[in-house]
Amino acid sequence: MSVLDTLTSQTASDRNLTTKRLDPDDWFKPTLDEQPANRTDRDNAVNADDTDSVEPKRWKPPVRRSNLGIKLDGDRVKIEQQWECIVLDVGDGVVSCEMLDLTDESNPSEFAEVYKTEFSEFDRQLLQEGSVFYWSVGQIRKPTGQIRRHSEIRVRRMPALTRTKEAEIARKVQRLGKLIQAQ
Amino acid sequence: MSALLPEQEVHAIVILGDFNPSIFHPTWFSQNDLLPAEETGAVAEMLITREVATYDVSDINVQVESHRFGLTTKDSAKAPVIRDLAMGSFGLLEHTPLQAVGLNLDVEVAVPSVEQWHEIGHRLAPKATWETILDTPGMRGIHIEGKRPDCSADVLNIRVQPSNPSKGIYSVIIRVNQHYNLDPKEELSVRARNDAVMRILKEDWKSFRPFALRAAVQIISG
Repeated sequence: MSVLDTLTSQTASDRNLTTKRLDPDDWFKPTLDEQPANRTDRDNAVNADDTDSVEPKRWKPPVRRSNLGIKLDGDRVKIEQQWECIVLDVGDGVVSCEMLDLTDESNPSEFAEVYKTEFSEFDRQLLQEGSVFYWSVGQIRKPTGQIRRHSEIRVRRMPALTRTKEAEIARKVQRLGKLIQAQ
Repeated sequence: MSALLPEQEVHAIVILGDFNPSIFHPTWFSQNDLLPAEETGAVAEMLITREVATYDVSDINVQVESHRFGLTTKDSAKAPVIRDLAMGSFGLLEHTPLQAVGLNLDVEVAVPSVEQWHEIGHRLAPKATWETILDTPGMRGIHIEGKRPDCSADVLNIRVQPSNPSKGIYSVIIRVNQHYNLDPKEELSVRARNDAVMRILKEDWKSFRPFALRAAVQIISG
């Protein structure tokens, strides 16, 4: 089994999705001598499915998320609707936007005005025409069973273009310009 | 069976390639306008070495090793944020050699009764053969791979497994993985592979979640 396999296979701790929160201490780096994929699904059982010999050679392991196991205790956020919103105008107290449904892309776009106070303070400075924010609406279920309504707005952050990317775009624009002129 | 809806979603983007984990310090993300400094400054615990970077920031688990870059969140509101983080990171680190990409969604669906819980296992893994070999055979997991129509992914992997029944709550976990091998023959330039990752994250990511959720509900509902 390659190093790649060990990085993409599940471990026994991965199977229940019910353990504690992610901590740095939970991390371990599998080595060739300690291959988590060889740990069985049942801790004390020997499971032939986990041995390398039964895997066809052509089989490639999927790229999997963390081997640490995702821990689902604590609050559970259940999103019922999520939009990608493009800012059309920023007024004194409200932001006008076009909303594209991420939950179901077949839904038509909608338009809305959102109070600026709904945005985190560190996000407000990013609001301008053309900027994008995500609006998620759903519920939070507490471990006690209590349910709260949940609404979260978060402005999209993208780094500035690198010089190479800028140059590449400039070249493409120049090429397109020449093509248009030629016609 | 009435329609069952997901109780919990866990989103992850995993990219394989050659990385320098120590770059991925929380401050790097804020200095490059990928995360607010207010959030990266609040990271309480982190492990950053030449071999690994791992910490939680903004409800997102960042885990980078020399050959693996992973972003995971169990908060669906942050699903687009991990997409943007991955796009932003490799937009900046455009000369990083990338090899494979995986879009992942784990969905946990609570089942109202133990009978319905067993029914799902019996339907997905019929017991007729197993009962000639074992007493009380039970499905502990099933893994199916295939292709998705109208999608350039190399393979779709769907795993189904029962959760451990605790406090009388029965649920099933469905793990959907959409996998792309970027350049198995190593013919593409680093730049072309980077562009391919950007395209996957920009275009394929949007349809992945609805597909995975539909698949989960269909598997559970029958």
